[in-house]
Amino acid sequence: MIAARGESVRIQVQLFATLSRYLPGASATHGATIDVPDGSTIRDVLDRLGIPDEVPVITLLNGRDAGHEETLKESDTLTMFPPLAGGA
Amino acid sequence: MTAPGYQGKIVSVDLSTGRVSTEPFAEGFARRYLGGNGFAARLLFDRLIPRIDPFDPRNTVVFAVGPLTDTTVSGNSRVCVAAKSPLTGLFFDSTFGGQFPITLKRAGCDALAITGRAPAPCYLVVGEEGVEVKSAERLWGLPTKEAVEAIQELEGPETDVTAIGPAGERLVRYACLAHYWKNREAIAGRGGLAAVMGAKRLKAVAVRGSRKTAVADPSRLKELVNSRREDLAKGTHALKVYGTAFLINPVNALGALGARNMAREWTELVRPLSGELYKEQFWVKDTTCQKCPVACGKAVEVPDGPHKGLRWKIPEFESLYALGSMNEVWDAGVLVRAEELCDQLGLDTISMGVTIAFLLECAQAGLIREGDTGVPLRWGDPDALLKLIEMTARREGIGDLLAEGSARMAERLGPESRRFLYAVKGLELPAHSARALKGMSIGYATATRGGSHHDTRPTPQYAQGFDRRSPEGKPAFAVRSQHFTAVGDSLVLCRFTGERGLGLFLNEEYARAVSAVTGWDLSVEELEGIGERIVNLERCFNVREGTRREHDTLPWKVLAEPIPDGASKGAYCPPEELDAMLDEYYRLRGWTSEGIPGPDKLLQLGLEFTLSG
Repeated sequence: MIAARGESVRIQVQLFATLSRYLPGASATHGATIDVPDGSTIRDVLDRLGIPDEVPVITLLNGRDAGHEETLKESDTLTMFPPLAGGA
Repeated sequence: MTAPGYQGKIVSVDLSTGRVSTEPFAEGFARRYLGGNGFAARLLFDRLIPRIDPFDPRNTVVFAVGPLTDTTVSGNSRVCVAAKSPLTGLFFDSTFGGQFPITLKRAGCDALAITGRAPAPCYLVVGEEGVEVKSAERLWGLPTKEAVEAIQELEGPETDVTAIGPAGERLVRYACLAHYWKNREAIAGRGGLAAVMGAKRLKAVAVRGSRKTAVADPSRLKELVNSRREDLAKGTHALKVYGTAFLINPVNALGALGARNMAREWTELVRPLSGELYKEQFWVKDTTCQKCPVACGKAVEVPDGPHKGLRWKIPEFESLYALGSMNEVWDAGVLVRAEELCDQLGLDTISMGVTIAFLLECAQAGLIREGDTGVPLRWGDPDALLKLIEMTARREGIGDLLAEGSARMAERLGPESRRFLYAVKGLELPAHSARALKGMSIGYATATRGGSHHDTRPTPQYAQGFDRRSPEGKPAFAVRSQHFTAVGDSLVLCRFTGERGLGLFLNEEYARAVSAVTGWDLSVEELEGIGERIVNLERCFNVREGTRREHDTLPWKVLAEPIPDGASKGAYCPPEELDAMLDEYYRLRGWTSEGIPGPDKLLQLGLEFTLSG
């Protein structure tokens, strides 16, 4: 869906691990460029990508922790991955 | 004592004389030290005299299980192995899974303590009837998997075995022991405990038995396990699909994945080392330890390139960092071969990889010449990586220096090399960033093991909204996390199923699990106190060996070089910040400003016996 450019912002999304299935299109960098309506929140983007509410997602906006209510600006990078439970 | 949760026996073997003895322990002892790590700490403190060389016959290797071993709690097939480490010269414990831990307990054994030095290469067979010492003359020199299989041929398939490889035989200071069971490998990786076995001429330990563990309240335990099942499944989903390799992309996105010996912690493209790539192109099947539904293990096959057709296990996240990004070897196939070499030769992948990275930076700075080594010393050279691993296991040429570990190498190469050293108390640091995660800054500085991510945990620090950069609250976090891991390693419970199944810190679920198995009316406070007791005892061991505040420090790059780019740009831990956190940490711990546990704290924990030493 392409909105008139003044009403949308272009962002980069990256989805890793078990979230990579929600990426629109295949990509070696697990990333995609999408246009979202101006004023969209992170939650709006998660919904748009089809990620259900009950799936836990860590969200980074331009590399820093960001809550799902934060709004996106032009050229933002939104990185998403499942909660980490490492240790090996 | 045959209280529920325990077999009630500590078995001791003196390889010098062949003497085997068995002793019981009081329920009070079990309640104070739990098992695993706790038992090992007490046994080693009591039995070792200070300042011995870790290769001295008087060093003792302890294998200890805990009350949760062989019950129904997910991830309970874990055993703690401990000794005085040839790498750090301090108390060191490492855990492994598979099937061996359960079988050791079924042999009727809560702890096995091995001292002395055998007159000739041998292996032990531990069964319900006792311990036999058998000749390993024809097994000496075998890689770990072949050694395990050969002993199973000799002793029967119901026997479970863990073995050292050529690296342990040659006393490489970070040699590891490996157990194999049904496609699953189980490795006690760090600290060079296999070299202690090698010095004892002990090739392997084999166990067999059928003695089950009594549980005080099975229905209460069942109820607890069932109530945690769904959370465990959700929390371990990514592990189940990708293994620990799933961490590569996210940690890099956080700007916290070390590369090129910590010159950077963010790389544009890490897909070549990622869990996603291994899953898409290499994955063959999931593998698991006994009694665990997660199956985080992955068998892989290299699909193309010079190692096409090679079938082994997937490299763990830590191995991908240490062998891969730290050396700029961005090749998934090469890293499977590197992993295979380390596992078969019996080498800790973390220490191996970080030590090679240290060597490469020293070469880059002109402190060591390629001509001296016969191996190209360049970043991103897969052949050199593999060659250096093999040379290390054989102590051949430059391998003899690498085999000593990076800290000893730095002593030999001189003060200019010290800025490249990335180790604490001699243990090379793992993947979880000491600069980007302030909780790991204080965590690595204070951990008993040194640069270990299993004393203070990184996991809670990756949670959304956790303030990773600020020193605020981090000393308290480190204290609490260290009690958590001490107890976890004493139960003995898999870290993954523990953190995701029961909780990231000691809580009601842990207390309930121990109570249900043992019948003790144990509170969270008491459990926290057991963790505190074990950590303090380990510290007493280390203090007795000479540890002081000056050793509770961090590598040069962490203290002086901010992360240059990526999401964690600017992060580091300047000395004043470390000092302030250390003061707070010692205050919380009841230790002196030199980092020595105070008499009041020792009395409070029932550790007054440490004062007479």
